[in-house]
Amino acid sequence: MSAILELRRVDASYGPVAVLQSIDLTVEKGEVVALLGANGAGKTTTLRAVSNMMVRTGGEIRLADQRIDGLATERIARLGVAHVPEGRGTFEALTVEENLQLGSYVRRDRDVGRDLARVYGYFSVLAERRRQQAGTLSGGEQQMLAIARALMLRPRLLLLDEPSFGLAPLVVQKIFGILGAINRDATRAPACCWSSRTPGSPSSWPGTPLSSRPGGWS
Amino acid sequence: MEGFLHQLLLGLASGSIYGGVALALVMIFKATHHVNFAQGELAMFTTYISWSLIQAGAPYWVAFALTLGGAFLLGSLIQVAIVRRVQHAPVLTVVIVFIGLLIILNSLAGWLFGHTTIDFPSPFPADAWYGSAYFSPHEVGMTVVTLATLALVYAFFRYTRLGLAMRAAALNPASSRLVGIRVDRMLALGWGFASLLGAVAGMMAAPIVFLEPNMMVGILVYAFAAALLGGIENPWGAPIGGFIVGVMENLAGAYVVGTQIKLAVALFIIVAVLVFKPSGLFGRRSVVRV
Repeated sequence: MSAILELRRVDASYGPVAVLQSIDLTVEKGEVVALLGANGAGKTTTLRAVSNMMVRTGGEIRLADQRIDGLATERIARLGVAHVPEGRGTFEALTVEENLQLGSYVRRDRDVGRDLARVYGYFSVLAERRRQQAGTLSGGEQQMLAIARALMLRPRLLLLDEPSFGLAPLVVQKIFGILGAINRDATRAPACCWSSRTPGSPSSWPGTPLSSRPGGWS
Repeated sequence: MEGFLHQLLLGLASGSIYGGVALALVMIFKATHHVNFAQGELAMFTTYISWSLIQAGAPYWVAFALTLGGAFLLGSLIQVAIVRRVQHAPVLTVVIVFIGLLIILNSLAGWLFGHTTIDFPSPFPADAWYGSAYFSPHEVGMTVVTLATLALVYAFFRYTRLGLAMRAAALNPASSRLVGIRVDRMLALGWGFASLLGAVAGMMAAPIVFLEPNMMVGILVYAFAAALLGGIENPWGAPIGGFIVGVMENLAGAYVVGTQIKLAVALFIIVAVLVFKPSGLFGRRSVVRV
């Protein structure tokens, strides 16, 4: 099968509060999809369910052919799922470069240096600020740092939770332009699943838009 | 004046010990937001281990190195077997567990090794060239060893990959998991390192305070004062706090309150810091958005 991510009849709840009920979602290898919907539609919960973060899940979640539901978050990351959470999750007290080094922490191959150069190429502002403390970067720069860090994992699947949140439209355009370029450039570009609150996405934003319906995202 | 200088230098020497234990406290606090009340007893216990090795015939520095390894293992083991199980429990539960650990280690040491005060050897000979009227060779050696250990720990955290991962796990466990760091394992390693620091402090302090199960109790109080004074979240503050506390202790003991209630100085510092500047000299006030 060519799907990199498959959710089948997945339930997700925060304690007693059920947010997702028996939903399905499929993302093909290399595909970009966008989960669009208003607050409460379950976008963040869906992404968190994949990484097994903060939610209790039922049902099956598969990465390629492997079941990942119930695995520890760090194990799922090691399998190649790079998740940029709501709020970006940067290590604010560490430098830009240290943040990127942490992105590739689990990798043992020798291409890490090359990937770091490539990431600096895509996000030149990060190269300028590589020794700066991450917490001093602007919102847009921190978002770029978070995405760059995720890419340093050389993931098979990239999950971006509300990457456009709180950013000026020009910045958002720039970020999505880079995401589109990454998707076109690399031969083994990661599949990408991103979420946004904006119900109607501009046509320049990459990916297949999906909305929440009973039974899943389609 | 000579007496004053002597007290000052003595304070710096003992301050290096307080700084070492304070750093161990800060490390664990940064990673877990818990104060390890059993840190002193852990240091005492590992010092007894080194004594047993020396009694068994091992040369001093061999026993020293083996004890560091043993301390690391013991600290990690305690984190995995005990501390991990209560890491999400209410604060009071955690405090009780640590105090329990303190009591167990203290009693275990007394039971296994006896309560008689033991003369612990110093690796720095009494007639060494670096001794002087102000500083005995042991005091010089102990300051150098403790500071060297602190420098190595700093270099480890600043320049190695694993050190970076451990810092990340302490700063932001959730994000660390997302990059694949096994946060639980990092906490265990953190405890191992803290225990190792305590062992160095214990072995360096033992020739002065003599080896017996309660040897670290007073030192722990000074270390708390040092950690709080330096800023409980600031690793740099710990050794600096240690020196300040050491000097204050000696000066107050010599000129103000006398040696009998010197320990009260430490308690006074703790209360004063918590009341007037809880973040310590070098800590930051953290603002939590609710």
